[in-house]
Amino acid sequence: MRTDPYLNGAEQTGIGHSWGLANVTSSEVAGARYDKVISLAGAGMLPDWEPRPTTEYSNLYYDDVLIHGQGATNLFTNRGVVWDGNNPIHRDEFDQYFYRGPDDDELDGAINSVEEGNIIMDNHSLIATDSEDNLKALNNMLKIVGR
Amino acid sequence: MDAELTWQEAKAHTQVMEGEIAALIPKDAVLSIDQLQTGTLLSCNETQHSWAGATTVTVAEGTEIEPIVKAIEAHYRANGTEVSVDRDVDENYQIQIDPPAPGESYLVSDGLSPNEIRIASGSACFMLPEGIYPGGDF
Repeated sequence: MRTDPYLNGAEQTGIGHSWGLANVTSSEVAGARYDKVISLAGAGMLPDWEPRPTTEYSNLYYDDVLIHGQGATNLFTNRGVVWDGNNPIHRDEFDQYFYRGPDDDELDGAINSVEEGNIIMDNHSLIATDSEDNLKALNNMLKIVGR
Repeated sequence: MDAELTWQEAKAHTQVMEGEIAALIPKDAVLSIDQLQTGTLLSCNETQHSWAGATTVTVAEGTEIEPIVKAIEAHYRANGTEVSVDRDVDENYQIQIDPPAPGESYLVSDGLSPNEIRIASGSACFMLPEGIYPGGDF
């Protein structure tokens, strides 16, 4: 698209949810260049990934099952269990935008019940849905894409 | 939820509310008020939807937006409506007004361009008639 005379002037934004963000960031490793990369509870990046200085990176997320996984360490490698710890939520290059889910009041920190597990599963999907519970995040995505 | 609420009624009420919020902005600061005539549908749950629209108010250059948003916040707090506060992605003061009807919500903050206040809305939840596809403009 960068070489297409009709498209090369357009702003180009890559958005990925969960493991889909890895597709976007892997395409950067392969040479793609975006003006904006938006991670929706994005999973991670390849070890070779380097942020591009002309790309604006954002990460929008709820308290979800992925960030609980991203906080866990593999005892054998001493690295994070998700993409070896190379996650948007742990990288300063990403502006971080946290949202509260509709049932977060029922979470007390430790996830030790089926109900709490279901809430953080639902929260992981919520960021990429057209649910009215996601209204604030959707409007902020609009602002990021539009600015 | 009001079981009889139609999407047209939900939209109409929500647009009136957008107008009420816009009317709280000091008149001498307002250059134009632009309400979306069509919106989109968000989902409330497996069977219900919420109509989502927006009104953009353009204000005179140099108008301080944060005190205006705070005055709107105070207005709704004073009449007992739930209001929450945070910052948007540009660090602008943002309020979310949550009337009691499930689904109904209004976000008020700076707009997509300078000198704009944007009121983004979500209506109370309603049931679409059978056979109506929830995509596209409503």
